Amino acid sequence: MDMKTDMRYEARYGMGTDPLSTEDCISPAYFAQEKERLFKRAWLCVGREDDVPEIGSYLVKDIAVLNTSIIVVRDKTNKINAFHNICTHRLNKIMQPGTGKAKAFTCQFHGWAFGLDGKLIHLSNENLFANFSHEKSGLPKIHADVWKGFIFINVAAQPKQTLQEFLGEMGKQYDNYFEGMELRGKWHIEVECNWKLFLDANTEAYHAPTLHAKSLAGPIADAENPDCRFNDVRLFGKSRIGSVYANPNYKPPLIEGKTALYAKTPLYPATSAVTDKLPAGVNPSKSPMWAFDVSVIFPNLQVATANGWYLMFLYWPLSESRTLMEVRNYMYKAETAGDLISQEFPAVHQRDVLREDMSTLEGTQQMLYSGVLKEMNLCDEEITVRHNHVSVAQFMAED
Amino acid sequence: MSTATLPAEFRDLEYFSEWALAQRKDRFKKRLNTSMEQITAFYNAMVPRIDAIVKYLNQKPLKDLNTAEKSLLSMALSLIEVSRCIERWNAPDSGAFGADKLVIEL
Repeated sequence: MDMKTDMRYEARYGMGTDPLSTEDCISPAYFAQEKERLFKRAWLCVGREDDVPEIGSYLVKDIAVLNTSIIVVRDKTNKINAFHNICTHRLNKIMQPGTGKAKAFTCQFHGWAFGLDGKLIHLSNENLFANFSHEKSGLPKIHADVWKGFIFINVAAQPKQTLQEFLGEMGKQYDNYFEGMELRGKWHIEVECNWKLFLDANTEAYHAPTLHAKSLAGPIADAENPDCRFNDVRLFGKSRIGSVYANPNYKPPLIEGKTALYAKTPLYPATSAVTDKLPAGVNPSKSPMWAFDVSVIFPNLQVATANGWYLMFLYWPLSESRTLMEVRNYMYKAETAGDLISQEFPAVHQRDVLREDMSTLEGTQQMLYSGVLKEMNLCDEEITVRHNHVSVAQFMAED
Repeated sequence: MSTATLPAEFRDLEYFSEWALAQRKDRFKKRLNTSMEQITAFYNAMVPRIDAIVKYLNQKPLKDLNTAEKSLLSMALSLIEVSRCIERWNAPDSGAFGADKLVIEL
């Protein structure tokens, strides 16, 4: 690795090197703007098709930043629909959060029932309603679409862009990468910090030698790359890919090393040479010394892509200073016990590494409120941080 | 002490069958609430047997494992959970953020 090219991302992308204001992480007014101008106008990932695998499968989710609760359902034509979780009678919340399977959504208040296509299919005492219209009484629809198995919604009445247009070039980087892997882990946590700080912490790498000294420095830093600099950063509109280095001479301790051997494909760290079989957006620089990528599909879907596994993160603001992070592990299908035992190492260790990533968040948020300092100083490797904040502001300013 | 039984070939590990926890959230919780001495004893008992365990369990597709074999698999997964305690932290946990806040669903 050539350590002399110190400002390579500034040279390539020209995003600027000024300190970055942190007002967007503490201002209630900015958060109010994010609700109206970002989250209520963007395509947002709410899950994956494997959450709703069969006809009638549904996913119900409360989304605080949208001030609503949604039902996502696979209908009889195999289409994914989304609706606001609200009865058109007296506006009761029909379904509780979670997943399940149903033939209809029935409100427990007066028994109004809605089909998988949202149409009102049953109510009692229709003759007692004046000027009643079935057609106008279906579940309020939300625009929904699917990309590579990820289900996206857009609560705007008329989204400015289709999902494909919104994803732009980023949407073309993955071919069939996300197919053929199955859910292996799922967890969530609420942290007292702004959602953008949380995303920042999980999408740069050069904190690894210090923050992850106990758990990750060995695999992703060495004498060649002591600061764990990115192999590459690619920006695609408001989305981005950061590709993380792997130490090719890493010698894992006993059990960690054994679990790699029990796997069909070496998993963690993934210093696999089979990078030419992976699509453009995975290990974009096709480095043989590659661990995984930390990539963000604007605004709040992060995927950490590797060979044979990926992590999926969703960051949901609960306020300007509180965030819910949902994390999932996807891995290749396990056929034997050896596969499962091997996959268990990344499943549990990534969780504990992420706990280290979270260790700075509440302290940072607290100190932002002091007002003593109002700007972050970002280095070239932190272009992913700059790009995060700037992209949010740009989207909000656009028509 | 759990009443889980293991395949005959691995009855020597019966003493540690309380680690035969099928759910990842239970394995995490147990690790956090176990002393380093007990974690180390479990790790030391499992390490010399893990290759044999994998070889034994790999004889069948996952879906065909019987109850005793599933218990053995759970113990192997617990070994992975605690391996970091010995191999990285020299403690039951790294001490990083959120052990009490994290909600494991799967």
